[in-house]
Amino acid sequence: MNIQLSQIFLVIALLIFGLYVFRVRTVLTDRIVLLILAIGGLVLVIHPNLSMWVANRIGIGRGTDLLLYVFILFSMFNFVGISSELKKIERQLTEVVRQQALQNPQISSKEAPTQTNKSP
Amino acid sequence: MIPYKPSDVCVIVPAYNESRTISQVLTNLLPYGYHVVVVDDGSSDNTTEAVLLFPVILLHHAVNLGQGAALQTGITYALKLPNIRFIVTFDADGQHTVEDIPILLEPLTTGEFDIVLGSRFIKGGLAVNIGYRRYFLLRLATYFTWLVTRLRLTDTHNGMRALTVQAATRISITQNRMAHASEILAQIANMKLRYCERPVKVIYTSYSRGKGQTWLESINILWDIIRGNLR
Repeated sequence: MNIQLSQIFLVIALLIFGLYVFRVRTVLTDRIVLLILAIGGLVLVIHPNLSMWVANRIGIGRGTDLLLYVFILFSMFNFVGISSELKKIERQLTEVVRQQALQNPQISSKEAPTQTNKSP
Repeated sequence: MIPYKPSDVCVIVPAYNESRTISQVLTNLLPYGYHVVVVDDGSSDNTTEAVLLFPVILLHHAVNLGQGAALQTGITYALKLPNIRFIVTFDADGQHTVEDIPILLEPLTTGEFDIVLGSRFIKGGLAVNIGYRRYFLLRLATYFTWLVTRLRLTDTHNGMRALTVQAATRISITQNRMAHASEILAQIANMKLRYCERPVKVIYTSYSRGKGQTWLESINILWDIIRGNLR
């Protein structure tokens, strides 16, 4: 099995992505990356010659492939952002449900057969 | 050793659709005189009706959040009760044994430990009708826990635990679903809480096996742990 340079590059890129996702990212960094990717994608669509040139320079081949990779990156960052947002909403929901539960403790009106309260 | 009164102890019973077993569990628990807090985790059966026949405190989650969330709600409530020294977690599906609670509390009374974990695999513990698949899965979970946290335990996913209020204040369960067991262990390791295991008896029935974890469920737990680390 011969490993190509691009494969090593891809694995390192994924590791960096993992580091970003679990250690670095904030909503703002996500949005900056997404904006850059969106604008970059737009430029590549408007200038097909430019996308071909860039694709050739970094060894991807076709300009449309480059555009596909930009789209995949965009989707990955988008997915992570949505997941994180869902996690935040879940945490907030938990807090609301918990506070409501804590404020309304129900104690049976039935007289206790074994009294657990400290009454004289 | 400082002796304790039953009223120093608060037992937390998280319950989700446990109407078939909760009455028996509470009937067994009440004679001991502990405070009992049942957290109904948005059950859709008549768990709440069954619980309200007993002199216990019932907290009610408006929607189903998961066992981890229910435990944290119960712990937060118990910490507000006056004169509580120890908190015990106890499953509602009837597989735990009430007589094991004093065994779990004993190491806490000496002040040597912050948290005591129930173990069905340590010497003196019992796992009745466990089935080889579940046995193997739990051993695997124990090994996985050792890899990640370096805690030397024999049973990492036992619903029975006892902890001091000081330890309960420090532990914070953010894993709403079944990954909370791993989360508690990770926090024990991080905060260097003093822990030990004590033998408990776990009796499996076809009912509790049906409610318990399967092989595939462990994928959910791993997923939740990874997701929990997402920033």
